[in-house]
Amino acid sequence: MSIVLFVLLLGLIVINVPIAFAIGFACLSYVLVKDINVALVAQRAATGIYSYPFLALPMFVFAGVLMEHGGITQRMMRLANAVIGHISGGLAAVTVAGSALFGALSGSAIGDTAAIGSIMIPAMKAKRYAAGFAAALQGCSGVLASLIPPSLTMVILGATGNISIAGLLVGGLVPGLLMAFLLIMVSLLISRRRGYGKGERATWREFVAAVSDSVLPLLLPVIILGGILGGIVTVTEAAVLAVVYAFFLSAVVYREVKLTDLPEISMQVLRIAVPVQLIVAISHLFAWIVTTEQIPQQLTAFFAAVAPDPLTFLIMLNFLLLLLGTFMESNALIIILIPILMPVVQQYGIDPLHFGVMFVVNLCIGANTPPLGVTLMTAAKIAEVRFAEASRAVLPFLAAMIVVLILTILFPQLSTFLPSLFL
Amino acid sequence: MTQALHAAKRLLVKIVQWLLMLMLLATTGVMFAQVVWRYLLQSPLVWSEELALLLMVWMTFLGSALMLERKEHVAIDLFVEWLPPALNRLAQIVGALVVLAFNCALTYGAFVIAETASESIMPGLKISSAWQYIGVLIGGGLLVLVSVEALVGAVRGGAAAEKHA
Repeated sequence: MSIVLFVLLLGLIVINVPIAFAIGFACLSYVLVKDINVALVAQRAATGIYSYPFLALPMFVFAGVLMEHGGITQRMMRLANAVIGHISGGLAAVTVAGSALFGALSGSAIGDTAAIGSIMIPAMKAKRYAAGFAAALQGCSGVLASLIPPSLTMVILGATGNISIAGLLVGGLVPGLLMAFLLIMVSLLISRRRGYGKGERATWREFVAAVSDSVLPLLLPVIILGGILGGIVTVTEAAVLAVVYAFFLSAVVYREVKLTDLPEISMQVLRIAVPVQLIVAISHLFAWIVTTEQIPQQLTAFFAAVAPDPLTFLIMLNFLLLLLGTFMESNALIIILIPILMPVVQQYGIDPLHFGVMFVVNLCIGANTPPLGVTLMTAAKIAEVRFAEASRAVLPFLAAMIVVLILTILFPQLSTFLPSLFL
Repeated sequence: MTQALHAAKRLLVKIVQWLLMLMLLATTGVMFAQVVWRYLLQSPLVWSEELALLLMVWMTFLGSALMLERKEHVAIDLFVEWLPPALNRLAQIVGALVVLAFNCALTYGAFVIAETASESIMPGLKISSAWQYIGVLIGGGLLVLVSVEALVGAVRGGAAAEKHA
């Protein structure tokens, strides 16, 4: 029965049925075949989203969208530019650093790619960077938002797998910074070899202006992380404070958002948040079936037979994930796989934080691997370059990200040390 | 007739958009009030979390209908693009039927549960637990409308080329 369920699910996704509805219909067929009351569909879907941690999701999106409209993005880019813009290949380094900084505010990979990409990609093209290179670099930098707190991906992962969300948010920081560092190194090497131009060195006065202009926005991650790590507020409450603070900055301090902008801003929030919320709601139904069918137990038995130790298991799992990640959307992968995998992970005695962070690093690679790298696609659209060309240019960056993945697999401390200090 | 239908649809979309915006702002307001009352005024609200979650359910399902209409739900259109036109159209019709079937089941289920839940009371808000499922019911009804429209469109094969990533 479970095989039929997965084949049906994949078949529907392949014929362009939206993922949430594909999961829903596969579950509905199961419910009908097993002669279970159909009301279960609505009951599980409604209770699936009736969950306090998930409230953080629309709130973080709201804060990110407000920041984008409120002129925060430009301030982050100016800061990054003032710090490293003058070295050769400087614009490339600014793209990575700016994405990491803004990712610390927005939390959404596609949002980050679009917001920073629309500024940096034209700038890079104007300095004669190859369009494919610009798209590939931006696509890979955009995913930093899912590793650097506050990350939406971590919220979804934590709530689905019953892993500490605060722990995941902090745990992603070191691998995220490591990835940013390696992406900068790779892009500098390529830029040097191809002679991509350097930017102007910022004058001392410009530097001071850029820094002082960014102090208020950069307080935001401090408020969020400080509040959560200090045990003062919950993740959801921190997310709401982020919205209020972002609104205060955009509407009162910078005066770039007016009340009349609210309809447009809230529609943008809903466009990003609602599809994820529906996937979350419906996969609650899916999780029920997975448990009823005892799929994790079967999987545990399977892995116990083929993978004697945790490391072998993690390596096999990562190969499988990389494969799935090339044609599946990240949130859908989390929601389908985490309920199935968590019991297996616990069986091997792997730290859930280590596993969770590693999972997200893997998804970052998937989001930039053809044929369905969603952030790479977004970046290629902005760069007006063929996806195939961006796909070729992305290879060196993918190599850098795979190095981070390998390190994350081999050294659990990279993801567990910081959380253990605070939580 | 068709013009009246189009006008009705536009009006409905407007109403849903405004409702959703108000719900988003209300959720933010309620959650902020919760923080203020708990940490500044030291007297936690008993109803804030329930209200925010109730709004979350309503937002999810009403919003899903709007996003289905705008084709904003995550889908993979890569493979159907490779198909010859006749098969592509068949895939669209099957897809539309699948979505419609699920939405009908969701709406029917929401109706059944809302009825059973109507007796119990939410502890914080002191209102019937049915309200949670009424959001699913209304959203489900709208989802059915949108998917009927999509099915008609797919059968006619008219606006077939429209797609979103």
